[in-house]
Amino acid sequence: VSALAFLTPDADPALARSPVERAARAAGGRFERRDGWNVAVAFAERPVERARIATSVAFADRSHLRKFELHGAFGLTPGIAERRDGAWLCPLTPSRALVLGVSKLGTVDVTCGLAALALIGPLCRELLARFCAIDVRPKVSPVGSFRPGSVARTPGYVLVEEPDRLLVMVGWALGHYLYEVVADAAERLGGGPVGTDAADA
Amino acid sequence: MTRLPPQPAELIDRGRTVAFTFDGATVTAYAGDTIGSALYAAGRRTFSRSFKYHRRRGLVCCAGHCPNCLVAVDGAPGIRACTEPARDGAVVEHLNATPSLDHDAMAVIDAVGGPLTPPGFYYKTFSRPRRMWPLFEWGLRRAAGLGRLPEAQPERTWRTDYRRRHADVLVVGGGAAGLSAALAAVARGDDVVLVDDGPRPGGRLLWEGGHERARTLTERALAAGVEILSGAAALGHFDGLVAVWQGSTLHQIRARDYVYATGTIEQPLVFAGNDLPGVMLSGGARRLAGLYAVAPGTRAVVVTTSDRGIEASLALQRIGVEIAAIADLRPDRSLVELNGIELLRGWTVVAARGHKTLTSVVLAPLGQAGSRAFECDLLVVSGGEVPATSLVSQAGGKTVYDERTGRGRVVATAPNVTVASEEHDDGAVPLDGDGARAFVCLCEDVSAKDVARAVSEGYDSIELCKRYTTVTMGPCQGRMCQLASIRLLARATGQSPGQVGATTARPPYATVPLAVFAGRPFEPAKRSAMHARHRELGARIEWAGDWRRPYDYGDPEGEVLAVHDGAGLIDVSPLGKLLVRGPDAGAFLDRIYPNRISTLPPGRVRYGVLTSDAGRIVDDGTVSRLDDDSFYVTTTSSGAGAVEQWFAWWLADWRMDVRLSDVTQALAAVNLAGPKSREILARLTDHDCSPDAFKYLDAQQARVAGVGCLLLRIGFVGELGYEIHFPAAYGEDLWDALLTAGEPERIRAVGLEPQRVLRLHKQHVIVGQDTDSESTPVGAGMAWAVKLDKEEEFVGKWALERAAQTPADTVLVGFTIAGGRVPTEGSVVLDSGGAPAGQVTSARRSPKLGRVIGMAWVPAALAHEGAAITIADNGLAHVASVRTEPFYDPGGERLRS
Repeated sequence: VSALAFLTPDADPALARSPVERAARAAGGRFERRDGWNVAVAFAERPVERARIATSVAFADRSHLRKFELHGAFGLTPGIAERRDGAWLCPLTPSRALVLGVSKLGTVDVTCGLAALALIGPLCRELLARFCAIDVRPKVSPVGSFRPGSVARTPGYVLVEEPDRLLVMVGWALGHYLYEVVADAAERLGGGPVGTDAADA
Repeated sequence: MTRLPPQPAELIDRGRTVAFTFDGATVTAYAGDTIGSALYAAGRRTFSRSFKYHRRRGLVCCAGHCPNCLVAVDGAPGIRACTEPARDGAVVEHLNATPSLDHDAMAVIDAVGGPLTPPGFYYKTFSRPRRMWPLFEWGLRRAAGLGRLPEAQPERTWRTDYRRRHADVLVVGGGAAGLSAALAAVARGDDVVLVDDGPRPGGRLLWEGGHERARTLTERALAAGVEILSGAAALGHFDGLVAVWQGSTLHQIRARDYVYATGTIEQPLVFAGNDLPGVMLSGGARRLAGLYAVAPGTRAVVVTTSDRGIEASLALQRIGVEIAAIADLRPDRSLVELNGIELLRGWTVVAARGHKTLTSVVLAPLGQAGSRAFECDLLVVSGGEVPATSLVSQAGGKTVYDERTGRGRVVATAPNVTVASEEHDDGAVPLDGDGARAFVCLCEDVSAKDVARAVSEGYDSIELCKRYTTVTMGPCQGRMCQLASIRLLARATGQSPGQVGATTARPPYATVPLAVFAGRPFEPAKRSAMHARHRELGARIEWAGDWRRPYDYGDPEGEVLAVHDGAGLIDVSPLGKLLVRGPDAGAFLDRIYPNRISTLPPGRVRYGVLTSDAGRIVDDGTVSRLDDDSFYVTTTSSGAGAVEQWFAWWLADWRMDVRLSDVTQALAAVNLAGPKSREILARLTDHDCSPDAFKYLDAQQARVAGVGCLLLRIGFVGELGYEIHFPAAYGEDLWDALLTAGEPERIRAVGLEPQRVLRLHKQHVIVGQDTDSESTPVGAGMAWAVKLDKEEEFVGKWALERAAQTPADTVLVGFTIAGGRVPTEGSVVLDSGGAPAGQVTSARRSPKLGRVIGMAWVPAALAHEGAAITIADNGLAHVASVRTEPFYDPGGERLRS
């Protein structure tokens, strides 16, 4: 057994749960077991969720995304994440990186260290602006930009995954709080939660 | 009704009406009206009572600058009626008048109270007899003020959204200059935001005949991509951002460059009776007519120092207001008649007369004898314009007084700040009147006489005069009174206005409810993965640092006993958790901790206390060795962040080959404790939990209920126990599994408070509660955790050597009290002479031991078994007996079982 095996969420039959599960369930989320995680797959009919993504802003729980911490020099530019082997390699310091996604690179599994929400849709930046001062204008933060900073008054990270898709991460224990903040702000913008099926489509 | 026929630039929608109440009476308005314009159109002329003298006050600026139209809207005081949109169903009430706005009993102060209320009167008139001050204060507070807030409010009724906006250029001010600056910036390819406090961009173009140009400029700006925020007041320029309040949103705008096109503020004139309802600034009269189609009066006199007054006269004449005369302070104009209006060159106003409203005006030639009275219901004044430079000053700009123009001028700005403004023709410098009813400051009822008196009493600088008289300190924040107060102070001191200087421009620049800053009602709270389970079990949840933790589950004594007699399950997820890895990890920890860590074999746990360079205790916890190069460090719950920073700081200095990972939130942790804990654990794992295979202070990995865990056999609560660390995602499932497995042993969930009692049984220290910033391990009875014979240097070594050589003055010990009350934590331990010599840090009644136990710092001479100490606690004296050994299981057999 690896010295750090206890960090990896690979239990069976126990179900891994996101810190936002309760809030997502209260918001009407429908859950399914996916890769050992209890995942909110939908909140409304697919067309409704698609419309939300296309016209305003949606948010989806991505806390189950695998995350690893990696130490060493990787030639990364500060503030710029790179896609390697299907995962995002995000520079935390010159000698430390966060790996998002299944990867052989990571050594310390911090999947359960960070709660994550994807903000998706044309108003995703407007939604972020309601709780975060990080500048994610396209001209300043193009796709691949990785911004550590204050997120909803807590330490966090923002990754620009796609032109209209941001991944927001804070400490796992603050996941429920982040969900409340995001849900409240999204509602004011005409947005709301979507399941992973719509988010990943 | 004084509503005019449709005006070219009016903002009202005559096809739609709204209704609100003012002091209970229904007022009908057009959509687009302000509360002020609707009330004025309905015939109201008195809008408020003044702050001190309760004088009648009416509309003056119609721009949200002055205090004269402050009302309460839906219970919120301090709202300016002249800019607040009229809304259906709004409940509008007057402020500061009893019993009614038109019959205010407190107006007697205006008639007889003058001698009692000079500047600084609360230090003078009401200072004797001293014991009466509380009564005076009560009366004064009720007599003055700008409205009342509810004394209690069960819940928030105001919601504010914060919105952060980054831009290349922020333009503040939506007049011609601001719109032009925005268009120029956007043409360069900049991302531009323009904020304007008016209902729509255009500034004075809107009411001075340029509304078509305003509309064109606005459309061009919008088409070019400028984000325009209307009804948005810039509150202040702070380091790196401008706060902008727009309805229920507080924008925090950070820009590369800032353009301030904030225009100018028209100034009133100082003369006797200048506050009577019916005296109005030219801009106010024109806004009322041009934007809301309300005639400001029927017969007017105009007094001006510049062409603005002349233009206003003609504009008012066009809408049917009879202009009785124009007094132009400039003597060198050739015209004597303008469009049939008598033009008095080199004349000024000396008095406005009337009881409830203006009925006549007295004009007089400057420097000559004689005067003429004119009957009128409107006096339009224009005392020149001052640039609105407050925000520029907050942004680092410098303003000086220009003796030639008689107003301030920006002479320097910060590198990324530009001032955009239109040029004005030079006007005359007003000649200020004097007397007790010639008001400089409408907000605070400060008269010209008050300023002169303040100077005669020695308050002869602008800052002292401001604080003494409160001039410029009211809701207008100096917009209407700064310049006049400077002129008056200059006159009283013999200085030039430039020498007098100006007061500091501080945010907020616009009046704003405090609720705006409160944001949304969300508090960053860390919750463990089992938080919902705690709630379902009926836990009392309380703050513990930045975590929400179960204080107890309703039966703290029962929870204590459960751990001693069977088993308890405690959520200890907030413990700090660090991975320290690398070839130098052991050597690094040897330097950080005062005891030896590198000698710890893999699979074992050791207690460690962390000290500062000065040998003072800063944190404590355990260190487990996972393999040769990997250590797992736990810290106190509140110290996790600080310890991680402490480690990183030393690593940066020492440059050792060590990698640090904070996994505090990645791992949940529970303490399964009690004599039955081994049996319960064994039901959920194939791991050998026997005492021989899993010894006290062992660290072993195992699957518990299918979940990969790190188990530490340690015992903070004094019983056989296992601290189980595992991925937070399994918090609920593992918690449930352990409680289910422990049902035969009547396992109970145990909260923070019972845990504190349990550790007290063992005299286990809680850093920060039983220690303070001066506590050393030696004084705290933890000398055993310091290895001064260690070969390596370590943090705090020198100081700890000194502490070991020097007898401590006070020592941390346990104490017990037979019966009696539990002393308050923090109560004082007395020495033999009755002097304070220590303090109680922890005290509880133990349900297990049946007596009061605690810990306290006591004089070293009393730190021996059985010594009697006296504890003084809020007038009570407790006699306690010192205990140097744990109260429970002093030999530790139960821990090691």
